[in-house]
Parts: sequence; structure tokens; C-alpha cells
Amino acid sequence: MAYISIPSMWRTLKPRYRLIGAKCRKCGMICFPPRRICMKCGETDNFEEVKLSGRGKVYSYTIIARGATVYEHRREGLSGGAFPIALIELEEGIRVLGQITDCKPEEVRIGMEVEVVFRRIYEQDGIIRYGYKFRPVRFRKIKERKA
Amino acid sequence: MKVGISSYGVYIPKYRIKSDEYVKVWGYFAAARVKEKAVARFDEDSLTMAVEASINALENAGLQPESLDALYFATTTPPYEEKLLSASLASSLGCRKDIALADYTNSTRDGVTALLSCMDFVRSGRGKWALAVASDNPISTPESDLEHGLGASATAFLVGSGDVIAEFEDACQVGWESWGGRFRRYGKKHTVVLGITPLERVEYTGLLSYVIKRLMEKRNLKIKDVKYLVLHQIDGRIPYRIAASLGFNDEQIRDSMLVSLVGDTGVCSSLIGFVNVLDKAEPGDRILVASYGSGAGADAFTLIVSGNKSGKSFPSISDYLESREYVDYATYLRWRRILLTET
Repeated sequence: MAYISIPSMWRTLKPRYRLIGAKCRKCGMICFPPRRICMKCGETDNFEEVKLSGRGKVYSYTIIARGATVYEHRREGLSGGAFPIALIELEEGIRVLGQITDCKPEEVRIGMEVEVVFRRIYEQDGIIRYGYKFRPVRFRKIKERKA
Repeated sequence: MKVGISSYGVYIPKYRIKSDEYVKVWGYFAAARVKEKAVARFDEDSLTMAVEASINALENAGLQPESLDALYFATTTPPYEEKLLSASLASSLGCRKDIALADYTNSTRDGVTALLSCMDFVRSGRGKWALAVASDNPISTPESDLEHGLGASATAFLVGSGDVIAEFEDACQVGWESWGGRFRRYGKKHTVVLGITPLERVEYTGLLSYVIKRLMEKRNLKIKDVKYLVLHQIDGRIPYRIAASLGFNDEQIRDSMLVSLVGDTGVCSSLIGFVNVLDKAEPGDRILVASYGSGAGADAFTLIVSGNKSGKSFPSISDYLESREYVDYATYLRWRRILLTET
């Protein structure tokens, strides 16, 4: 992972803490993380904020082995060992990259239903870097349970 | 004006450790009648657990975070010793910038203190909605008896007026200087207890009994007027003794005794039991909650469940208790960063 300075971290808190994306006012494309130029139609600086559902399915994944952990994740690597990273296809139809938590690496499957959670990602420059991860859906709403 | 709890939410981590794991390593388990306790994963702390409980409380109410006028956050294990954590919480929920924020971080009674402050905030008319969040992940040295019982969880209570599900009645707060309970010196990582048994008994049992008696005298309440008694739980035995010495029977306290399944969760120690009681309570039931904090102080309050209450919160305590996976003692030490010597 590239180094993220504290000002850069602060400017991007909305997507990191609350999964806020940018929806193009011209073509409706949702970009995550938010960007200035639409990935689909090229429209510039014409977006509205949209909170993503955080619910989706694992599209693809890989396991970061303990030894392959980048330096800033070293302490998390020591505490937790190998960890999965996945591309999540959200209900909104876009794909988001994130770690999978509350789950053994060998239990991750393509198509597994996940939901977003707020967790500690790593520490750097004396700051705790919080952000989103995904976990296997833990509870189903009562109406979904009956279905 | 009717002021009280409009909705609530809870969070218990997925992982548990059984008391047998301690017996394997130490030859005994110090926390009486605690079968297992909740363990925060290494990527969780008091703030991340608080976010989940808060989201649950807001979703149960169908309220947007922008509607909150106050957010009070209680924990004895703040991720930063100095830094406004209620601001971090507000940003992760998506609250407005003009919001009353406060952190309560010095004592295990603070969860209830924050809740009482929210009641005062709404009753004074300063705002319509206040959220009291308590979240804790206490830690002590692995060789101490105190450490055996320490668990992790979070609760959040949305305080409002009008159509509340439980109406606030009255409160009583007491305190005096003492060293009988646990404390953590400035800059220290671990909470400790001196282990002076006579002082411990006077402090925990004494303060809780005193505050409950004072509140009941003030409101002229009899034992039978209270359907549920919820006590701060340092283990699964002493609260029953305190209840019995005051004249309460086991039935009045049993539903709140979650310590046997989640451990002593610090600022949530009484509130998590309160959530379980709220899940079960019927309209008209009076609930008395009493919380203790070393140092020492105690807070007690009563509420009456109203006709607006329908069903359990989602996810309920029983949902969380069923959703669990066990870890061994070595994993527990690694996740708590007790095995890591490098800071």
C-alpha cells in the first residue's frame, strides 16, 4: 500500500469511515473512492455524495501471507497473521477493495455475502488509521429470516 | 414532558474465550460464575464497537445520524488518552458538525453517567435527540485475577421525548474517596486492583447498596414495585448477594446477569444487562439500574416501560449470544497484544 499522509487521510475520511461514494449527475455512474472525473462519461466535478449500502458479495479474493505484510501493517500482521483481501461487488453494482474480517482466511469464498464494518486498519505517524472492512453477514433481518 | 429511552442497540464481538482456557494455563479461573467472555478481535477497540452499537440504536429507531443533537461517549479504554473520541464517533456515524459532544473516560460507572447526562440534556430542552454510547475493552496484566473476568462489548441508548419506550423516572448518584476497586495510573496500560478484600467489599457492595437504598427512599419504592433490578457485575456471584441483602429475590435480577456469558465489560457492565431486560420487559414494568465505578462512585436510576415498546431490538442480545466462535488463550493474548513486546 502506498504511504498515506495525515492530510490525505483527513481529506478522504468520508469514504474511509462511512463508505461515501460519488454519483455522477450526468450519467448516474457511482465512483468509489470518489474522484473528479467520471469513469464512464468523463464529466468533470459534477458529482453528488452517496452513501453506499456496504452489502455485497465477494467477487474475487486473495490471502496476504504473514510474511508478505507491508511495513505499516506489520503490527496487525503479528497480531492477526495472514489476512484476506477481496474485491466486493456491492448491491449498487460497483466493486470495492477491502479486507475481510471476523473470518478465517480459508473460509472466504467467491459469492460469499458480506457487510461493511468500521475497524482499525493500521497505525502510522502516531495515528490510528480507522476505516472499512467487510465481514460475512452476521445477522439477517427478521423478514429476511422468514423468507 | 415524558423523557426516556426511544431506542437502543448493543454490540458483542463474535469471539469468546471459555474459562477452561484459563484453567489450562493458570490452574484456576478467578471470576466466579463466569463461563465464557466476549473477546474483541485485534482490529477492534472501544471506538469500533461503539460505532456498531450506535448504528444499531439509530436503525432500530429509524433515525438519521444528522438528527442527533448530543452524543456522549463513555469508556475506560479510550484509544487515545487525550483526544475527543465522541468527535471520532460522530464523524464515523455521519452526525452534524453542530452537536453537543462529551467523553466520559475515568470510571466504570461512566456508561450510566453518560446516559443520565443525555436525559438531562433532553429534559432541559437543549435538543430533541441525544445518544449515550458506552463501549469498553478493559485490560489488565495476564497474571492478575482481575484480568480473568474482563470482557468486551458496547451499548447505545437513544434518548428522546414523547413516544419513548421506557420513561425515565428518577436518579441518585453517590461517591467518596476509596482505593478498594480497580484503577489505572496516568500513562499505564493495565488496570490493577490492590486486592484489599475488606475495602473491596465495603466499596463495591457498600456503594451499590447505598445508592439503591437512597433512590428507593427518595421515590418511596418498595421491593415489589421493582420488576427488574440490574446491577453492575464484577462477577456472577456478588450481585446476587447484594440483591438478596437488600431484600430482592433472584428472579428480579436473573435476566440481567450477562456477566456469566460476556464477562465484566467495564462501562457496559450494568448497561448490557439492562438491554437484555429491556428486550424482555412488558409495559408497566419498573426497572432499577445501578452502576458502580471505582474511585469510588455509584449511579442508580429507575424507568418505567411504556406501551410504545414492541418486541426486541435488532440484533438482540440473544442474537449476539448465539453468534459466536471460540478462541484459545494464546490467540487471546496475541489479539490483546499482550504477547507483543514491541510497542
